Amino acid sequence: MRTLTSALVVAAMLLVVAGCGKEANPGWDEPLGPDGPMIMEEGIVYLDRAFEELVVLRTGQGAELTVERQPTGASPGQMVMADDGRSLYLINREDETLSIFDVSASSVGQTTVELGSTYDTFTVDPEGEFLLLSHSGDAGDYVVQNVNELAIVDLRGGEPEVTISTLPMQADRLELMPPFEMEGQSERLAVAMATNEIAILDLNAEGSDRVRKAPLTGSQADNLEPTAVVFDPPTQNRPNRASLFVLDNTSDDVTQIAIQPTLEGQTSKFGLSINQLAAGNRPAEIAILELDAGDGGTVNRLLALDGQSAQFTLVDVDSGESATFDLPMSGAAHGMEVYQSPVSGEDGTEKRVLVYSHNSPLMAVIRPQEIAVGTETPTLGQAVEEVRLSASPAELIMESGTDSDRAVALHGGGEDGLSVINLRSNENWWLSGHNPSQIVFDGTIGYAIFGNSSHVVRLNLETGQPQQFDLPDRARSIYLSPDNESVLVRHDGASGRFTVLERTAMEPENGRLYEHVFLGGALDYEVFDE
Amino acid sequence: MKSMSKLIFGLLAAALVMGASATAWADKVTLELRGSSVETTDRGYTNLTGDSAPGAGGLALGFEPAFIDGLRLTASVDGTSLNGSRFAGDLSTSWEHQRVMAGADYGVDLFDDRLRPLVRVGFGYSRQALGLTADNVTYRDTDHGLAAMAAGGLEATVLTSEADADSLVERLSLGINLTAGYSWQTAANFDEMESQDAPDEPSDDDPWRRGNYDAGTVQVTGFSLSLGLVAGYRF
Repeated sequence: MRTLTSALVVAAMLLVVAGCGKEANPGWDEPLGPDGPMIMEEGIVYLDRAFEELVVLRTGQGAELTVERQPTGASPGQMVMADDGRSLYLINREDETLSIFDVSASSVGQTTVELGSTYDTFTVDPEGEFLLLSHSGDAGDYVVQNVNELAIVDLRGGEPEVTISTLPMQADRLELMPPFEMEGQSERLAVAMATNEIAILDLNAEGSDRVRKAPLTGSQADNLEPTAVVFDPPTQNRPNRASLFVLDNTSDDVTQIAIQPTLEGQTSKFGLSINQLAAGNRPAEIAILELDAGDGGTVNRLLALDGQSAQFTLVDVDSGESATFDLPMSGAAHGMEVYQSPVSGEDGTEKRVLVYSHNSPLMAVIRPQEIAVGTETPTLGQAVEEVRLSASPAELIMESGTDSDRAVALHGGGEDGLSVINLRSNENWWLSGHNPSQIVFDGTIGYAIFGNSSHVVRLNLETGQPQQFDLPDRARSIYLSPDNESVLVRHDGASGRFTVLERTAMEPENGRLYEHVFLGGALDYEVFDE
Repeated sequence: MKSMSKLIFGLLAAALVMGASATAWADKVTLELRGSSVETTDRGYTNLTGDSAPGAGGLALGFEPAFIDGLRLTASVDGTSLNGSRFAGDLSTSWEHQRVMAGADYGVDLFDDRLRPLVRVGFGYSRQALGLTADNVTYRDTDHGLAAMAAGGLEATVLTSEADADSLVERLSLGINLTAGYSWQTAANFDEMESQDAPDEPSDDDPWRRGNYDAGTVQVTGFSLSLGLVAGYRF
């Protein structure tokens, strides 16, 4: 009976299939799991490449989680979030377009810009005024491309405008310099870095005047790879000169490219002059510090961390004078963070630099305002103060914003816990336990998750008091909602498993577990017509 | 499939009762083994299975009243179930679909009852159930709705029956039919999928409330073909 029924069904189906006109989206045959997330101002967003859609997750009151799916262009490629978390940029490879998603509103809006080429590298402007698109040169699905080509997207107007420039070389990296004024004009520069040379782009210029090339001559090495560039804007004392300081991988010197207005009648708006500044022993990291000059003005200094020894060098960028000082750790420093800190016993704040090494429990706080370059050697405890941790920091997390009161040092090795450093008093306390896999901050509260643990810990950074709360499963990542109401925890699993907790009441009875989040509305996804 | 078995058992039980009483007013009773398929216009089923033409098997019990020549009143049940795998095995799917309908065929017997052009209509109840399993977590939902169909076709009788025949065999008929038409039913909304692992109420063992999971809709509606094997008994 059953066999006979099946035969009848099959026969009927064969008759119908002869007229079929639909097939499922091939995305249904791809493994589950969108890319991401990117952290946006109002939530987090994933890219579902198979279905060519953004998946936007937002939390709300009562541990609510809402999911919005927004179509992209064809074959979405690289994506990046603007620094303010309000815009998401996405390359559509097949369409050769750029999608700009406004993710700041309750519903995602989209603007599409024609590019005419398949770029795969973004350079995002922290100011949100420009976006640079370039080619990495990696093998891709294209017939031919000019790897020196650069698309400059001007985001300052209502509609994005794209102009194409060709660089004199293929850029390994691009960076946008902060806005500045020279001769009363508002200016923006970008720097393209390549082996042995850099190119400076005047983003307000047009045509061939836009790009200027400059050689790197910091040492006699065959190949100089620029590793960092910092910008020294015009000051009150020298209103018509800005500088770029370029660090490379082999030199003891830093290349200074001074930028000044040219005389009338010349084709280029800016003239360039190149100098070398002594900056210690193989500097590994540099920063420009704008310090009080004492006369109401400011003076800019270049701080360079030595890559070979526990030293740093401070350079007066106007005179070229420099002085090198010891750091308290035993080996070379690996990183630094610049922050603003209140001065004890005085009104106002001063710029300070927190320096750390992965190999030493000693950190250093440099007070560059206290250092007079070339005339005085600072003593330990005055211009350079030490902070002794319980273990070497594997990673340093600064509180967001420049007026930071606290930093958190994560100790490597899996069992070493973390240290919270009070940047006002330079005191610290150690939280023992399994190494947190992620920690996020909201003012004086930190939220941490741990590698193999089904818990989230709320840390009061003022008191050092940790509180532990249960999760339904092991946590993979954690995010804070911008509404100050919720904590969003993602668990393992390709289908999207999330727990939403209320920040003020993180007990399970107030939270909610969401599963199959990436499968929401799946039966209603578009299908393809044959 | 359990639900399908219950429906078939119910229909057979009803058939026995009705068949006993049918002798009083029916000229002929039929039992049809039916296979049908629908070319869906909705994306839900296509997404679920990668196919656009669900098939179903079923039974239809018919009574041909003596007072209207050519009319066959039917009660039918059909259904299907399938298990699938999507997203390269990351998602397992299970789907069940059943319909119970009351209907009528009207046809004209030609060539000594060997050929019967017919039109068919039906109206009734439909049920769909969906289960989705990913990351070892299963969510299920069931929805109920209305179903209807209209079709035209042809029935060919291989073995014809004779009224008032002495032997049982001579009263039996056997034939096949093929119909084409439109099958409609309300969309099944799987917008309240429930975790099979969660307790009805949060407990000490599992204190977590689950968030709502809306999987979307499935509507099995469209052009339909049906192929049936019909056995009859003439009183």
